[in-house]
Amino acid sequence: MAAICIINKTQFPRKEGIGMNLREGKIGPREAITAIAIVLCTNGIFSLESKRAYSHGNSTYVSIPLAILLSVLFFVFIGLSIRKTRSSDLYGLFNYSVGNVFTKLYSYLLTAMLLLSAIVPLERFLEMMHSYFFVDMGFADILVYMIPTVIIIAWLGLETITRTSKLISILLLLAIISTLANAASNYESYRLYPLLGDGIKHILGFSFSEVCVFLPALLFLLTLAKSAVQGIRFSLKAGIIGSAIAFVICAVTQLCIGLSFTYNDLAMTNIPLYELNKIIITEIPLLRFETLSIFLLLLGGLLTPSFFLYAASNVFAKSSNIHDIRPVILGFGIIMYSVVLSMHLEVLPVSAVITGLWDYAVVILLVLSLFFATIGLIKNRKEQTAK
Amino acid sequence: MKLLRIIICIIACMFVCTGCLYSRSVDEYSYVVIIGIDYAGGSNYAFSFLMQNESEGSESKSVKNAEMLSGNGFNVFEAMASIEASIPYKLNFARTNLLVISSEIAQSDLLWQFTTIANNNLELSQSVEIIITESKASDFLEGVSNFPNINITKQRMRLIELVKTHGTTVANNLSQFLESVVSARFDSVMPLGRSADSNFSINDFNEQSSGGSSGDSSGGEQGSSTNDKSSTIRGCALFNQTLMVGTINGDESSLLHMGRGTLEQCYTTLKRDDGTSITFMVGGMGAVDWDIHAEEQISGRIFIPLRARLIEDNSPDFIELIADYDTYVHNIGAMLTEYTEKGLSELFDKCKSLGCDAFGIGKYISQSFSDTEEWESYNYKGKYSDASITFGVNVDIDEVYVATYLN
Repeated sequence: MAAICIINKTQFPRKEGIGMNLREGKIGPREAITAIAIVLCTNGIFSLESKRAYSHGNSTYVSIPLAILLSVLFFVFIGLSIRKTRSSDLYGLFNYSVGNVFTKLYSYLLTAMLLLSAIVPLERFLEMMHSYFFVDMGFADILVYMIPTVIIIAWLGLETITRTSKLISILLLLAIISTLANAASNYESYRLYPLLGDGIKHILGFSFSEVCVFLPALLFLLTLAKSAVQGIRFSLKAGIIGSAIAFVICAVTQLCIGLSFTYNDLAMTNIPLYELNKIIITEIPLLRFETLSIFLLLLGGLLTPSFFLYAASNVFAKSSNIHDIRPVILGFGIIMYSVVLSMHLEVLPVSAVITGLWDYAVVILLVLSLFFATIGLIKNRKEQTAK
Repeated sequence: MKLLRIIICIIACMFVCTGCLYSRSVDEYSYVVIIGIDYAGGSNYAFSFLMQNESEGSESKSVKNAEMLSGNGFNVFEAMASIEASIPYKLNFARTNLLVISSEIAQSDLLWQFTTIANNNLELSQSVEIIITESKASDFLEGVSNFPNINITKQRMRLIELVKTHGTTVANNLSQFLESVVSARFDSVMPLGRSADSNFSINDFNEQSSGGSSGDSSGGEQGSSTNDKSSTIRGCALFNQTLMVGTINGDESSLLHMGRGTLEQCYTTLKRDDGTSITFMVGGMGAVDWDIHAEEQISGRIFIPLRARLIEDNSPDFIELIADYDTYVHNIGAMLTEYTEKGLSELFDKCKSLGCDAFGIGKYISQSFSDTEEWESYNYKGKYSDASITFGVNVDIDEVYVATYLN
């Protein structure tokens, strides 16, 4: 026990398996791919803030895939830096580049971003449940049922989350495809116009700001390279394929949404994908499919906050040398509950704080990630030249 | 085993989330299928709710299958409160599929107010069809419910069928109305209904100022007949954004479908100078070709390809006329083309004078802009009143059918 304590004080992150209960397990490439695809799709389709995304015109069918592409480029750059410097994972690279202290600070920032990534989809789904199903009920009542589900899934660990992702991925895909197919009779191209929304500048700006939605999940995958994902090669492979799937699904879904609603309508619509089922003019066999569809989408909607809750707890536990991840999950779960509830009750300016964090923290996270990775590469080159 | 536990856990939680919060038994609800709204004087409105009677009506022809409840109030919630105070169940609007609004309400801003309130608070589906009635909405609902053994839950589908098979009206749901107001790229056109004892006479619609008249006036109406009241749907109500500004008859509705490119099938009867008439079944033939320019003045041409099938020619000289087959086909084609082009121009002028973009010109104009700011500053609705659009029609007469008719 004393030996463990010495290791704790001297080594960051703590070596998994030595007195740790991080509940990572071992996940195969398929599990990692489906988990990443589900998480990115949920963020790219459901987590968008309608007013921000559509009020200047709808170009999300370009900007969201572009944001995924940018995130993957950053992810690949950092991943290749890890390989080049022969580091084991993201922590290994940053420890090598800037040392323990900065890596620790970075990991706290990553924890905050991952926790925010858990809060945003949960808040959107809560809004949807309240708007469409439980109109007469308070947010707290609904949240009381949602939060334990999210915490329980996260509590059971990464292996459980990713295997569940693999299990429900086909169901989710079918739910999305059938929703889009059912609404096909309503698609009209004029709704996409003006095609460039508020201009190229806005599309690029929006894409860049949306990187914050996709990058944290991919960065988390790099932190697992040494342990759960069995090497940086598999991490990269899972990240790229998962993102490619999300790229296609998000692009097609946003295009279909654009064909169904004008940007003026979208700016006032909470969950456009769900609304697709409700506007069908002709009678079709699956006219009232929306309830079943929402049930299936809710599976993904709850799995995503669980993934991010686990990810935030994992990064925090590692960076703070906490033995057991479960109390961290519970603590972060309670924080999530409080924050989401505060956002709806408007008792605190939580929404404003979160929007601010969302907009600026990602820039800091992105800049730091690229900066540290670049330092690592330069340091490595210098060492090789010296040899 | 662990995975199984997780799945059971998720499913159990899902069930809790989707059905058991403040649970209420299904039989405690009464599902409103059609909502009717009338003006009741002062600041009060009369709300009528039509519900399917599932219990005994299906077996006895003498018993109504629909049950109507009415209540007055300042808004729908007050009316609901007054009705629910006298009935042993709660009204639920999740299965509502028709919204019948009196023209009096539609001519004020109240339709917009109601739809926005209903959309946010009543769990109304956006696929709910809206019908404007020239008579009182409660009379229209009564007319619908009077028909023995009627399944009122199928009325929405019947309306859509009517549009497809006769083209004498349109279908317009809540979503399209909201889109027309919010996106401002077109104006709503809604089906026009009435009950038979209203002041409005059905014969008014059969008068054809442009030389044509409906050849299928009975078939072109969705109606229910009883000893007291009946309800019919024919023609359309024209809107300028949120306000109803005018009406068009069944034949004009068919022309509107042609101009929009949404025509599936309609019947058109043309009268000759000698009093004889010729009836066609007209259908759309592919996409309508729009060539509209968004400049200082909106101008352009809409070209419509149509196919027509001769249904009846009651001319006593028909055998002589058909002797020169090619000339006959050419002449009836030219007759239909002239009628359609003239009718479309007159209809467009009528819509323009009312400020109603029934053809959806704005949809096509918006495609000329690549930037939201440019589009919004163009102010197409302001320029619409000066728009100059011409119509070109190419009718393809189904010659094979004429030949068959000859035999």
